[in-house]
Amino acid sequence: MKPRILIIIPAYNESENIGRVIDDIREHLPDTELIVVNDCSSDDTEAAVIRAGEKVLSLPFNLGIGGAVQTGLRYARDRRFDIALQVDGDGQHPASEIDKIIAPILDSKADVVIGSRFLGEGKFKSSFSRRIGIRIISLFNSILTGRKITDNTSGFRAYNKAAIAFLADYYPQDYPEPVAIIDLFKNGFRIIEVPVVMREREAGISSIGAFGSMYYMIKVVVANLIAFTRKSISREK
Amino acid sequence: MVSPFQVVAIVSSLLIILFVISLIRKRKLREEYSILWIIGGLVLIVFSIWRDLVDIIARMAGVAYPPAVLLLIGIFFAVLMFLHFTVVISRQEDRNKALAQEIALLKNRIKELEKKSE
Repeated sequence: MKPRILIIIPAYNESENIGRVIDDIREHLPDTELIVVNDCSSDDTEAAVIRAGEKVLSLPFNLGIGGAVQTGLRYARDRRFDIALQVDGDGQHPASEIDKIIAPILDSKADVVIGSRFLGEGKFKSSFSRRIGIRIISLFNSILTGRKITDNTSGFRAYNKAAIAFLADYYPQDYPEPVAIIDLFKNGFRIIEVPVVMREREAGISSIGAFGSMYYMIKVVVANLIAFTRKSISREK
Repeated sequence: MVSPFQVVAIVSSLLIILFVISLIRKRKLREEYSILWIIGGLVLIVFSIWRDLVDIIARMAGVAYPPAVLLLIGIFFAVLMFLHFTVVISRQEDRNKALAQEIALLKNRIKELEKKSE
């Protein structure tokens, strides 16, 4: 039987990009179901999704990226999807890369696949302070998990059924992407990274400056160290 | 000998405890959160009645200025209370989040059912 795949798109004030993101996915994966989680946008993101003919989960107040993604994962669990794929609503993640992320799950080689900007020949421009922050977070998570994880903040990810069920109940809220890696590792999920190409942000400049990215790095490292000391949660496999 | 200050201290400690109890009776304060307040009030009463206690503790702990012990206990109690509050707030946030997600999922489900029944 063909596995059922759900694409989860968290979106906050993405009315300008969301239409393009949906078209891009429709073009590459016409048969895949997708759902947009509208994190209480103040613009007409919801209307844009409906205009594109897709389903939307609308949160009554803003939960942040962690809460939004978890809503999509709960939807995936409730509707018994086999694979959930997270794609950001800002157009950073090209749909042409999705197959690469899903492939290891289809081959049962991994429970969780992370699309990495930094693996392979990808040349992703970033500020110096940001690169250092990314390096240090990557170093910490690689030591904690015993495998090389280069792109801890990537939101371009796929999960199998067991990982969906786990994250639907225990998705971290504050620094969800890196902390989820630790939580998943501690609970015995097989995590692998695959190289992907990501687009540069089309609109807007990153609001995190040199000091901001150092501070962010420290918070993430502390959160990850604490997450690492958590007991694993018993679950049926 | 009972000093006027002692009377004021005992009466105000009693008032705090009575106020907490009345809040529980009016259902404005959950029993769960009141325990720390009642314990705090009782500690105040003990210190008001037994005036030498502060001196005894100060001597045992090697504190030169006994009233500092009172301040220390007060601050410790306040910090404990704040910590308790942040735990309660975190739990509230978790529940709020779960409710918001449930609402989003249910709204979607209703829309689907409406479409089906049309």
